Amino acid sequence: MVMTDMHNGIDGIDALEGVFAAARQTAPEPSAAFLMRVMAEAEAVQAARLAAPAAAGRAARRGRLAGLMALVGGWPALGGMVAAAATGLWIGLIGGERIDGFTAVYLGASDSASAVSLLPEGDLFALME
Amino acid sequence: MTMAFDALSDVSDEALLVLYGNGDPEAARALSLRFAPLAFRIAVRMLGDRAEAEDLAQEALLRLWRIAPEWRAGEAKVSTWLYRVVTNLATDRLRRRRGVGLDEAPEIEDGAASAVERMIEHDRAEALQRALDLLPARQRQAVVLRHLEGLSNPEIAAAMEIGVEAVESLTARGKRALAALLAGRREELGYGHD
Repeated sequence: MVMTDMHNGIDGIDALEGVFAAARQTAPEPSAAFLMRVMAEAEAVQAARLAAPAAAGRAARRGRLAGLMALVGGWPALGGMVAAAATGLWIGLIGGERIDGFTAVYLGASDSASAVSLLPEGDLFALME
Repeated sequence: MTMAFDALSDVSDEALLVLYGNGDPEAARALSLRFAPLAFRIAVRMLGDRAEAEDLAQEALLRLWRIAPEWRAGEAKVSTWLYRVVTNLATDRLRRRRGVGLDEAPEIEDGAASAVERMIEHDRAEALQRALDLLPARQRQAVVLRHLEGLSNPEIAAAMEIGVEAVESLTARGKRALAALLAGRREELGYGHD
């Protein structure tokens, strides 16, 4: 039987080489449209990856600023910090002698030591007990 | 750095992939032209359908574009990686298409040859493709890579992630099955007379 000869005989296996050779000669070729789609996708993936680090950097910077704001208590707290810093700067600029005048006017005392008594009886340790 | 397209023809596959990963647009085009035909060809051989082969080849290449930045030189050949991905994706599709484990599919029986005889066309290559379509997926994979792509057994072993002896066994069984399937057309296909 021919089929049996082809199945089992070495002649059939050898003859397959001719069919393989014919198939290699007529290998399927991709269409131009397919190649264009592949190329476009390769470029799109590449472009997306190149754009991603820049966007990630901006997001990271926003993240760091948000973290700092949260640490100090948000915008209202930052406003207070700015006011305090400005006051400190002003005091530094006008000098110590001008402070005496300020306390005299606003606190009703002639010298700074008696004008500001923040702790009744001055007993700091009593507060800590 | 962007290189002229012609200048990339001598660049190795792996170096080209590194250039692509670094953002060279010419490398994107050169890689596409170098590997899209290969991916498509294997996919057609495995699936026997051009439209489905285009879809599969594009899927495999998309994976290549995505892993390009992490590609380690010397770890694997790009072509071997692509052979593996395309044939594995094709095997998955064949399993879904037929709904059976193809590796466990029975060997081709002599009776199947008559069905092939009705299907095959005059073209030898087309007849071979129809016969390939009837092979179990792993045998088809090994035969395509060995006899149509011309890979060595060690290269096929690397692509299929099996041993060389297993490759030899798969190709031998695949060829026996093909010979049986094509037996009814031996004269037409160039087998000649006994």
